[in-house]
Amino acid sequence: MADRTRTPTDDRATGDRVARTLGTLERERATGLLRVGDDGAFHLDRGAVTRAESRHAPGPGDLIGALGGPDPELPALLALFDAAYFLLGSRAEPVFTGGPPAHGPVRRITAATLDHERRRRRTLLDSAWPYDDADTAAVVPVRRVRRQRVILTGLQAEILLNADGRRTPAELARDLGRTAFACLLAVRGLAAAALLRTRPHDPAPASPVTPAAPPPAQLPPREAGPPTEWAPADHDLLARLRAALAELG
Amino acid sequence: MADIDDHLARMMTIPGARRVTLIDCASGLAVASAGREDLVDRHEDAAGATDVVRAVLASPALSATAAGDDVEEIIVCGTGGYHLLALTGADLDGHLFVHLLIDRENGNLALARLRLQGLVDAMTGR
Repeated sequence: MADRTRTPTDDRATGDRVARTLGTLERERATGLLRVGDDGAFHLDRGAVTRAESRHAPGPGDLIGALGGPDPELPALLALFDAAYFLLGSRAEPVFTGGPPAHGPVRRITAATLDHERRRRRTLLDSAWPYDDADTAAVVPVRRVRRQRVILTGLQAEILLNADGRRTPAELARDLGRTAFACLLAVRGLAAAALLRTRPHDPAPASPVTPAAPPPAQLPPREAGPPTEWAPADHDLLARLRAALAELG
Repeated sequence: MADIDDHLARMMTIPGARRVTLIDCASGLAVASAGREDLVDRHEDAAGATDVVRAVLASPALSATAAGDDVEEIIVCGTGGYHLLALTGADLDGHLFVHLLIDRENGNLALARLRLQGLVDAMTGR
């Protein structure tokens, strides 16, 4: 599969491949682990998904800080749906190995529920801002806000306050103890509000615009008045000036 | 989900309660519910109710103060019943809200609000 030339149709087919494999395993009432390349894995128990882990999504332990409610099942459930969103969109090859069911409290989610939820979430993201490269790029807030006032959600404010120009939405999610999906949605909203630097869709890309006028290094620093840039020399004028000086001499 | 299910079962004892759902505000996911078994509807309803919560939170016109006060509850009154959307507040980082549907015939809005607020506080450990 890997050496085949990819076309958009291929991508769509491989994107659904994880969901199809999950559906097949559900019908077979399989128990074990479905690995999705390096991205993560689903734990299955008699066909139902009981756990899911993705390297793009925080685990239940990361969510407990913010979700320290009375029931530990809550972060576990949110983490499962969060991880499933990324696993179902992965293009990696799913590989199933049978084995004993995962330990711990058992929640049973069907493949169809996960797939439905993934589609719904992708629609939400795309309606906020249709370019998915914001999901994986480092979050870089803009320097200048070209509006009088801005309304943010609490999470959007947290993201702007904690963005360091290097971390991606998924990394910020883990740090903030939020689900990765919540951060993706917040980031896409920020991109749509022109509060983040976004690379390819900006009509005027950030890099040529942001550098201010070059520092006036050659000019004496305290001299007031001189223009930052001299007009190009007028050779005709210089020649006439030289001729006039020579005549005086 | 034993604890959460217990809390939702208690919410169903509110007079006139027809169904109750606990919803993740960030994703619109129905986390748990009681009172009705239809799963697809439950998820559709949760997504729709989340749209309402989002719209209210994003609207400065619906804030009581210029600084923006926290929304605790959103109430929608229909001819057939009342929808109470109770936000669980800062303890859970605004992650979750409870959607309670109360029958207009058998329910009492003031009583339901009072009981629901107490049960939400108990659920979030406040």
